[in-house]
Amino acid sequence: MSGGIVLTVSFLYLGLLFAIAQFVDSRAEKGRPLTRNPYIYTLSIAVFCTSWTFYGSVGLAATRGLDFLPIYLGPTLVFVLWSIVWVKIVRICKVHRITSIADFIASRYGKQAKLGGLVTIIAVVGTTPYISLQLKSIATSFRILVSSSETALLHAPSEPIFFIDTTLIVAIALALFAILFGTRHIDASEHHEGLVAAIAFESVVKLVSFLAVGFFVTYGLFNGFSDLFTTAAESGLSELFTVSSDNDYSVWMTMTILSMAAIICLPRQFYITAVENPDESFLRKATWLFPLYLLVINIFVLPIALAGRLSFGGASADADMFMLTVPLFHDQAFLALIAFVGGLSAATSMVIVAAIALSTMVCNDLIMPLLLRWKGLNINKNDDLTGLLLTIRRVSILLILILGYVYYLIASESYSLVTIGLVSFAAAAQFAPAIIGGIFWKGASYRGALMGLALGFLAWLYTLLLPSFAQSGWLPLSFITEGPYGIDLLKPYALFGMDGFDRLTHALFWSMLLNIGAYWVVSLLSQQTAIERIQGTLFVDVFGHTDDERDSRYWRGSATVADLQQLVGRFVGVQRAAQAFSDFAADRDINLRKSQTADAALLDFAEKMLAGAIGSATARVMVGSVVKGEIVGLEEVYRILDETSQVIEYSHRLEQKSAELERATAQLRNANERLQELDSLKDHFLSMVSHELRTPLTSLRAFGEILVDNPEVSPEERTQFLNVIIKESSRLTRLIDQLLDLARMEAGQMDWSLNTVDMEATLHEAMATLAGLIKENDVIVDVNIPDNLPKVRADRDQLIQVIINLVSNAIKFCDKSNGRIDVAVSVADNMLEVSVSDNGKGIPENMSMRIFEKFHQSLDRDEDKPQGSGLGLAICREIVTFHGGQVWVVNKPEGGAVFSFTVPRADRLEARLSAE
Amino acid sequence: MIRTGRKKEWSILLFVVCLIAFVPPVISLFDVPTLIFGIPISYLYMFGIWAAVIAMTALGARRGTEKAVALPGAGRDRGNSGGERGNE
Repeated sequence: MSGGIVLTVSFLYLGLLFAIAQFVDSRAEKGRPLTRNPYIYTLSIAVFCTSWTFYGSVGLAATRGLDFLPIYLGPTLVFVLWSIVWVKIVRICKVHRITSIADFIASRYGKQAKLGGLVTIIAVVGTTPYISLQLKSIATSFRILVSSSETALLHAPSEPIFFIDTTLIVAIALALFAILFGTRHIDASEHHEGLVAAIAFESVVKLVSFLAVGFFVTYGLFNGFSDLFTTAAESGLSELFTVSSDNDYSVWMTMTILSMAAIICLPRQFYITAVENPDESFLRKATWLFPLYLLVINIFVLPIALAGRLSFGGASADADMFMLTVPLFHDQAFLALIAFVGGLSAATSMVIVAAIALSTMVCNDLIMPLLLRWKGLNINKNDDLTGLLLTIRRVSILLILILGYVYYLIASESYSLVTIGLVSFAAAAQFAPAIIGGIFWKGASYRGALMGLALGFLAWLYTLLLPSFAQSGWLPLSFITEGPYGIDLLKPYALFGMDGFDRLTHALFWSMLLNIGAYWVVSLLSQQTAIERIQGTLFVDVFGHTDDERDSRYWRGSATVADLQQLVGRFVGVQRAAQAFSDFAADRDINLRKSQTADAALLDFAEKMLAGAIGSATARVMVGSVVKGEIVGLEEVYRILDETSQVIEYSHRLEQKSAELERATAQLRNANERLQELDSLKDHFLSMVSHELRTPLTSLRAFGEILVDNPEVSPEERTQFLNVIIKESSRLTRLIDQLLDLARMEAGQMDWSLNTVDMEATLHEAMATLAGLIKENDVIVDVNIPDNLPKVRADRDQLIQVIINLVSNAIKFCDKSNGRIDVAVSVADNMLEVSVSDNGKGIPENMSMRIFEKFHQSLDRDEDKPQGSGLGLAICREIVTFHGGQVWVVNKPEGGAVFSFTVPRADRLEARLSAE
Repeated sequence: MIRTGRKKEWSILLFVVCLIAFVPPVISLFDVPTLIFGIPISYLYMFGIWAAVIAMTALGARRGTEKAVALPGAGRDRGNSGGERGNE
C-alpha cells in the first residue's frame, strides 16, 4: 500500500477528530452540550485501551496465552468497588476543583508545592515509556502498511521516510494535535467537552476496528471459535489456552495488582475519570459499561493471536503487529487499513489525554511554584499571566512527547509493547498508597506521603527503568549481571539477593515495601500541621462536608475585592474573572464594591477558582500574596471542622434539654394557676371573715348602745339583750379560735394529747353538744353505732371537733324542710370509719377535693351569702391527717353527700408498731 | 448522592468473589486447555466469570435499589453541570 494513501487516511482521521471536538465545543458554548451523558463518559474512560491493548495484548497472547487478561480484570475489580473508591474521588475533585493527580495528592497533604512537584516528576518519568510505546506502535504499524515486501510482514523496516525518523514525525504531529486540543484556553476545571467527545469517538473506532479484524479472523479464516481453537490445539498451540501451564500465578497476580492501581493512578485515567467527570451519577452506568467495553474488546485477542501463530508458522514474526500482518498476509489490505486506523485511534487518544494531563501538572505543580519563588522574575507584578500559562503548557506537551521519543530511541526498540507498558504501570502504582490512604486515613501526613513516594519512585527507577537503559547499551550490561561496582547484593533484578521472581514482581515488591512502609511509619511518627489535618478531614469526610459552607475557609486576613479580581484575572483572563465575580455576587444577592474588603467566602471562591487554573498549592500561595495580615486561623478552622461531628451530639442534647424545659414550663404554669386560685380564695375568705366578724360586732355595739342610751330598759329586756351580747361574743370567740387552731395546726404548733379513745362515747358527747343546733334546725339525726367498737388512738377533743364540724356542716346543707342526717361507724382492718351523710344537694364533682381546702366555701350555692367560715372542713382535714387517717366526700346516687373519715384503731396501731 | 451501606456491602461482596475466582487455587482448577464444544475451559471460565461480575455490578448500581438523594450542594459548585440530575 502506498505511503500516500496511508498518510492521507491518517490525516483525514485526525482532521475528523478535530472537527468533532470543534463541533462539540461550539455546541457546549451555546449551552447545548452533547457530551453530558454516561455513555460518552464511559467511552472516554476507555482511553485506558491504548496501543498496548490494540497491538500489545495480541502480542502477549501469542506468546503467553491468557496472561494478557489481568490488565483488564484489575480495572474491573476497581470499578466493582466504584461506590467506595470512585464516587469519593470524584466528589473530592469536584468540591476542591482538583485539576490533576498531582493536585489531588498535593491538596490532600496540605497543599504543599513540593509534593505536587514530586508527583509531577514521577508521573512524567513514569509515563514516558508509555508514550514511547504509542509512538513505537504507530511508527511500526505505519512502516508495515506502506512496505509491500513479504519480509516486512515479519520484521518492520526502520529506514527513515523523507530522511527523518518516522517516529519523530509521529511524535511531533501528536504534540501539535494535543496542543490544539487541550490548551486553547485556561481554567482546567471547566470541562473539555470537545476533547472528551473526540476521545469517546476514538474509543468507538478502535473497538469497531478490533472487532472487524476479530470477526474476519474467526469467521473469515476459520469457521468460528471452535474451529479456530481445535485447529490451534492440533498444531500444538494449546499451551496458549491457559494463563500458566505450571501453576505459577505470580506474574498474573502482580499484573492484576498493577492494573488495579493503574486505573486510578495513571495520570490520564485520573484526569478523564475524576477531573473530566461531568456528573457523579454517570458513574452508575460507567461502573459496569466500562468493564463491559474491556470484555468485548478482549474477546478476539486470543483468536487473533492464534491465527497469527498459525499463519506465520514457525517464522519468528513480530507478534505485536499481528493485528496488521494477519489481514495483510491474507491479502486484506483494506481491513489492514481499518486496523491501522484503529491502532492510530488507540495511540492518539492515549497520547493526547496523557499529554494534556501531564502538561497541566507540569505547569501547575512544577513550573509555576518555581516561577513564583524566583524573585528575579518578578512574576507577581505581571498583569496577565494566561498567555504565560498557555505557553508553559504547550511547551511541556512538546517536551513530554520528545521525551517519549527519546525513550523510544534508547530503550524501547528491544522490548515488546506490554513490557514497556508495565514499566509505566509500576511507576503509576506508586501513587496508590498516597491516594487510597489519603481518602480513608485522616492521620496520613505530608512527610509520610513525600517519603513514601520518593522511596517508591527510587526503587522503581533502580529495579525497572535503569536496567532497561542497561539492556539497550546506555549503561554497561554488567550493571544488571554483576550489580553496580560489582556489588552482588545490588543487582537491580535481584535486589539483596532476592532471586527467583520475575522482574515485575520483584520491582513491585521492593517499591511497594518502601513506599507503603515509609508512608505508614513516617505518618505515624510525624506531626501533622493544621492545614494537613484540615485537608485530611475534608478529604476523608468529603460526603459530610460537601454542603458545609465553611469548608476550608482559613483566610482571615484582609484583601480588597479589586485585588482579588485582578489576581484571578491574571490567571484565567480578565473578562472571565469579572464574569465569575459578578455571578458570585448575584448568586448571593450581594453587591461587591471594588474597595470593599473581601470576606472569607469570596477569598475561598477566588482560591478555588485559581486552583482550577493553576492547582491548589500555587493558588494558595497566590491568594496569600494579596491577603494582608495573617492567613492562619488554621487551628480555629480545624476545630470548627472537628466540631461538626460534635455539633450533632450537641443538638441532640439540646433537644432533650428543651423537652425538659417544656415540661418544667408546664409545671410552672399549673403551679401559677393554683397560686392565682389560692390568692382569689384568700380574698374571698378575707371578705367573708370581715363580714362574719362585723355582724356580731355590729349587733354587740347595737345592743350595747341600746343599754347605755336607755337606762329605763326593763330587766327582762336587759337580760335578753345581754344574752344576745354573750351569744354573739362567743360566736366571735369561736371564729377566732378556729382561725388560731388552723394556724397552729399548719404551723405544727398544736398541742395534741393522744390517748386511747372510745369512739362511741366520743360520738355521743359530740351529738349532745350538737343537740341544740339539731333541734333548732329541725332535722332528724340517726346515729348508728355497732356494738363492741374497738378503741381508737386520738385526741378526744379534736375528734369531737371533727364530728361536730361534719355534722353541723351537714345540718347547714341538708334539705331545709325535711332534713335527715345519718351518722354511722364501721370497722375496717386498721381503721374505724365514721361517715356523715345528708340529704342536701351534694357536692359538685369537681369540688370534692377542693372543699377541704381552707378558705374554700360553697360559693356556687343558691343562697346569696356563704355560710360558715370556710374553715371547718379544713380543720377536719388537718386533724384527721394528723391522726393518720383520711377524709373524703362522695355523692349519694339519690342525692346528698357523704363525708367520711378514718381514725386508726388503737389495738392495730400497737400491733403495727410492735411488728415494726 | 447520599449512599447507605447496602451498596457498599454489595460492592465488597462482588470484589471478594472476584478475588476468589481469579487467584489461586481456584483459578488453577479451571485453567486447563481442555476443549468443551471446541472452546478451551480456561477461556470460557475467564470470560464467563468476568461477564457475570459485570452483570452483578450493573445490578448493584441500578437506581432505586436504595434511596439516592442528590445533595443540594453537589451541583451548586458548577451550576451548569447538571449535577442535580442524580435523581432522574
